[in-house]
Amino acid sequence: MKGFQFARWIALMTLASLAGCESAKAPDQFPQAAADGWVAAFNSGDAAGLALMYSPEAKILPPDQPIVSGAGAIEEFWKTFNPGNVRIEISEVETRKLGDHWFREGTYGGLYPAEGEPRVGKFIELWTRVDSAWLIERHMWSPNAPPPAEMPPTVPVT
Amino acid sequence: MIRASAIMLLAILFAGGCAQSPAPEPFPQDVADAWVQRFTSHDAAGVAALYTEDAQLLPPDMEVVSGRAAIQEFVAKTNPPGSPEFEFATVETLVFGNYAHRQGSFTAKGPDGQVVVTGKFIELWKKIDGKWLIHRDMWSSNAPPPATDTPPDEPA
Repeated sequence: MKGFQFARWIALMTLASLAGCESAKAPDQFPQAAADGWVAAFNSGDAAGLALMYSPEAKILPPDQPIVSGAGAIEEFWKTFNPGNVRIEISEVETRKLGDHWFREGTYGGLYPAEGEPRVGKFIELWTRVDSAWLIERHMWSPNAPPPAEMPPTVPVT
Repeated sequence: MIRASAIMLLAILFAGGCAQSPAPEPFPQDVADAWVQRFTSHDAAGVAALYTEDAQLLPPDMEVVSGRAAIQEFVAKTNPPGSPEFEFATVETLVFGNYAHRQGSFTAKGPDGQVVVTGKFIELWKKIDGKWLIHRDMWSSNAPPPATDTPPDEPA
């Protein structure tokens, strides 16, 4: 009987140890659902929803503008950037797991209602996990060609 | 006695199996400093040598520049002797095993010392065969270019 209890104790120790190790690891899959949520929020002009997808320490590094930091400023940025009439599509995405972060890069096409061709550009992101949520920590992008002066600002991406 | 030995053995095994990753090594600031030295002396080949073979520059208002040879050509074209003087600063670094992230800022000054452009950059570094190199390099200015002709943004 004592031998049985000891074996059970050993089994519990093993499981607890393995669980502890597992919880310290980042999942092996890029949080695609979160990235898809960003695109959905952008395409619906949901600036408040977009702001929720950034970490408290997040910084946006937009082209031809200073760095944007903080949830309020990020929400305001997106509100100005896309009031809801621009759609974005993502392609050629590559992801890398960097320790407890994810790095993502890719290309985007921004579709403006008055323009026949999308404005194409590239982006990079650094993602971090805050509690159970994957959020964007750094976000930078730029178009592949300068926008005509009379056109609205270039389109961001995730 | 047997139980005590078993517990000690298990403790060692658990500790080893769940060992924390070793503390990350410092960011290779010496390589970043070498990049600045080569860039400011207009050594395009020397700058390109600090990128991985399949590195990419992601310049503003331009398409991605891929590969060391193309990077050398780009740097030679955009940073010839007589270009504005650039200063670079590291804002943050994160090292993840064989990769590292760096964010920084840059300032360019004209011949009269006046600031002509300020901007920011993000780099992804990769360690290959023990050597740290830049794998991705993206930058942009903090303001739209003036309407008049001005030098293009420089890589950071």
